[in-house]
Amino acid sequence: MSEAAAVKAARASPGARQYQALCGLFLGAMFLADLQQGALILSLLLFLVGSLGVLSPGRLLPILLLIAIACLQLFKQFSARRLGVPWLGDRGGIQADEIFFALAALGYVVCHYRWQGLVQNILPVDRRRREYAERWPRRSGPILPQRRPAEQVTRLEITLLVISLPIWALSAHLAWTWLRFPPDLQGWRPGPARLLVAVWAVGTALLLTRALLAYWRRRQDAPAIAGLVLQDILWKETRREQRRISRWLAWRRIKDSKGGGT
Amino acid sequence: MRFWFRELAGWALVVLGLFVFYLTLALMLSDRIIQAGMLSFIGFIIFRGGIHLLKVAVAARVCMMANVEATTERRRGSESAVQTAARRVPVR
Repeated sequence: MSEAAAVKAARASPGARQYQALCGLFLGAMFLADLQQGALILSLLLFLVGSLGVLSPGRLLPILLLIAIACLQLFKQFSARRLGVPWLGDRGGIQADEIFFALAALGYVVCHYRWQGLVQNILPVDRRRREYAERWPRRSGPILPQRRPAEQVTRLEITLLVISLPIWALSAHLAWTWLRFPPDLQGWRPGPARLLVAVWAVGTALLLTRALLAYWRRRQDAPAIAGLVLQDILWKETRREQRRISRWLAWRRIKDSKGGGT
Repeated sequence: MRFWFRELAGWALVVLGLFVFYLTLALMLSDRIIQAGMLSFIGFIIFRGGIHLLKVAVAARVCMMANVEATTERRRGSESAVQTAARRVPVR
């Protein structure tokens, strides 16, 4: 099967269709939630950017949508603070439509990436994996795709995704609420203080997560790999002593072989 | 057992490193940027030390467990071989 036919078959598979439909659904939800803020043109702009992603599984389209969301949010803040547009700013507290919007945006991005995994590549493109010609000259051909088999998509997976979305959206809003009220700081404005606390919290969480994942991975290691790790550490920590001892031994062996040993 | 102690010590160092990071944040928020920078370096070293200790302890424990399992298997194998040989003795 040629690559074009394989892509066509992958796009026509039920799993890919389901994720594409979910992308459209979440985009509609985003549009409706954004529309409640009363800026029809901005909501339509967001809808147009998002609809590109519903029509095509392009790699950069979810990122483009996220950038568009960030720009629109910044524009709304700017309009409210500098231009005095009252209905486009920070309305204070957690609003239900904002949680719904965050949930829909997260759902859209996750579904789009899963759709990409079914249709294009499930991992970032590996340029070393290429097709080679059978006969000489063996020129490198196109990059081999690494798609997820469409048969692996299950109902449970989609259900779990949809159920977990509100949890993440609520967690993000709770974190933002916590950041909105930073402790009483000496000489810090709320904005930089909030940014500092956020960077600290995210950095520490990443460090801890990395440590836990590394610990879990080490526990799963085969004995041979664990032995290799230990040998590597031993060599690193005693390399100078080992080098010195080996040098003495070699010196002694050479001296003995020359017949000058005492 | 000794590897458990190392593992516990590794976790203690990791927690200590996180605590030092917390102190760093507290220092930064009270406008002591230089002190916070130095303390964050110390915290990073402590944290990395804990991770290293954990890595060694877990790898050693995996090796020890494999060793114990191999010894047990060998003992079981030799016992079953003795039993099989005993069964093969002809009875007249």
